[in-house]
Amino acid sequence: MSKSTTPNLTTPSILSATATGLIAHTYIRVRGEQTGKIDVYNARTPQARVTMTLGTVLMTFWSASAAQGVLEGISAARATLTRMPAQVSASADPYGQPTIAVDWTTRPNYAAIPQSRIADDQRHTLRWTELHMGPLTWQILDRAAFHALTGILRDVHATASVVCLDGSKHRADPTADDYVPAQQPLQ
Amino acid sequence: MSTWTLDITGESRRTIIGTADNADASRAAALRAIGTANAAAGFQHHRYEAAVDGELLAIIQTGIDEAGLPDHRGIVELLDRITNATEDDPAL
Repeated sequence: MSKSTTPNLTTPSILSATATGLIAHTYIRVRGEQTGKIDVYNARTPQARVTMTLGTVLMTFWSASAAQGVLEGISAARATLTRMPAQVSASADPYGQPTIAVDWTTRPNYAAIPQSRIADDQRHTLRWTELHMGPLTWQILDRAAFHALTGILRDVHATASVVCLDGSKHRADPTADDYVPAQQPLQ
Repeated sequence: MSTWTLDITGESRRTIIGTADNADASRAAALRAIGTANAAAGFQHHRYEAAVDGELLAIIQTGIDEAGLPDHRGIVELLDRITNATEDDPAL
């Protein structure tokens, strides 16, 4: 009798098993309105994944748990919204931004940290929020970016909870008022 | 005198309150307290909310490791990163 060796879910070790190098950490800085694109591959199979393209950032979610965890982390920045500016003006960057691709396999650790410093002109204080999350640190510079990110990731999570095999266990919306972050092992 | 608080939510909820000479020392003490609680968290996915002098310092949530267990080692790395991070210039 043959036995299937197909894993139920993709894990970080599977992803990194053949890698010759890994980027351990990087920063993503977001400000102002954001528009994202969501794609689905191999729905309802062990290899199901949802991708989100946000400017030059490509994120691949290999489980609903991962999508829920990332959305939960971004939502944690809600506690810092009142100190963040509504929208900061975008500065033109003729060289563009580096392209970053991140794979999320499961729920990441995260830390939301409000940050501030005096501007170079010594006339005002810059306030933003840093979200340390797995291999990334998000720098959210204004409320417009926060709301846009939350909206896009909410759609990603809703999609992942339908197309990923662990979706039924991770349907709860982290942005809902009655949501309680996970306190026990879920997998 | 500076005061720090740490709310730890797991199977139960508890609050730790401490004082230090100044805000920087309070910040360091709160982060150390998170590290201590994380080391004793066992199978719980602790959530930590720390404040210094009434201002939010950090919200930290335990994730899941490859074995499906609480990723306490990841929290240690996160704390190291936060402790060592300099205030990065967002170049507005």
